[in-house]
Amino acid sequence: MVGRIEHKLGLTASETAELVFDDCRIPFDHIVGAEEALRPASGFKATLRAFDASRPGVAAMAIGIGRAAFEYVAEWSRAEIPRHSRRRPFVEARLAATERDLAAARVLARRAAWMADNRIPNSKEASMAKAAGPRAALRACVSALEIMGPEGYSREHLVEKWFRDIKVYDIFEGTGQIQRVVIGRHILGRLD
Amino acid sequence: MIDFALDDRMEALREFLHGFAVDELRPRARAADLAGTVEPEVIARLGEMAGDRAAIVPPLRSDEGLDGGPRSDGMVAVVGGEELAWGDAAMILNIPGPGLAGPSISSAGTPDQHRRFLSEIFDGGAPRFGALAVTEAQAGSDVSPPSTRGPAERARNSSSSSRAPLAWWSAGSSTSWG
Repeated sequence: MVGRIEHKLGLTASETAELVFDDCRIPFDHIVGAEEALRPASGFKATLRAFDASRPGVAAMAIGIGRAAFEYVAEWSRAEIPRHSRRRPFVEARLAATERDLAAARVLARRAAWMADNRIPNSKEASMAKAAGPRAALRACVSALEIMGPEGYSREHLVEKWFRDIKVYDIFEGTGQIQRVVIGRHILGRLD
Repeated sequence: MIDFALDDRMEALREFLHGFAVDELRPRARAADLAGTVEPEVIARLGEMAGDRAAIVPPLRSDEGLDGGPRSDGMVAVVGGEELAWGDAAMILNIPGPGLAGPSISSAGTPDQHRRFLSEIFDGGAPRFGALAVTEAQAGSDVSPPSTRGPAERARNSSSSSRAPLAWWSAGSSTSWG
């Protein structure tokens, strides 16, 4: 049964809800993997495999939000910040860093996806993409909001919405902290 | 030489999805954010765009993609995900289809489960939505310590679970159970 529907900071048009299973019987053929799923830890391992497939895509979605904020503030800056304004070099530097970070994150996401398509184990690379993409996008949204000042904080523009939407991408599908644990364990050879 | 360019097929997909984002998603982003919901006719249009198969992952046991060419579902998800989220990340989570349940079923499911839960269940009728839950109130997003259990009964034809709240199911309120 559906429990509480969460009221969230962002992604408000997508509902997130609590589900409660009370004495719920599941037909055997509905268990993902059926017979194989009854082996110890098989569900956990299957979940990790699923994350290797889904994390690059989630990272890419975060990059999409960051790119939206970047392109919007770049266009706004061209219109609102005069060429010889003392603010201009600051804004140029922030936008340059933003585009660089998003481009690098995009390469990581596409590399992880390419590996999955070519059946190359990509657990570390998927985590690298998931660790980098949302953080780059979050910095992009923060930069956009700060560059636009009071207008960035206003609902007149979508920048504040992107700022609210992006944070969860560093949380769901494995937090940024978990991704760094995964990467580190691959490096040190401790990943089970 | 390393080639970072998208091939023609992927570039065409990117352009198509970007156009959809420009025309259908971005103009509605603010209204959807304020309302906290997406209009049913928009959901239907999203479903039409995705063939009601959002996030479908072709059979992982095949070396071929859906059109007989090399597998490309991962790249499709990355290229397409960026363009659609550019339009509006919240609205695209309302696209009918397997959603986040897709990768789990695709990676671990039997061929029969692929057919039933990645395709047939979405044929015809009202839009249906898959969901994935790996979070409990005390377990956060670390998948290793959840306490929900589904012990197999002796007859091995069903399993039962104790009452346990699972929090933070994206699309949880819309999930189709059938």
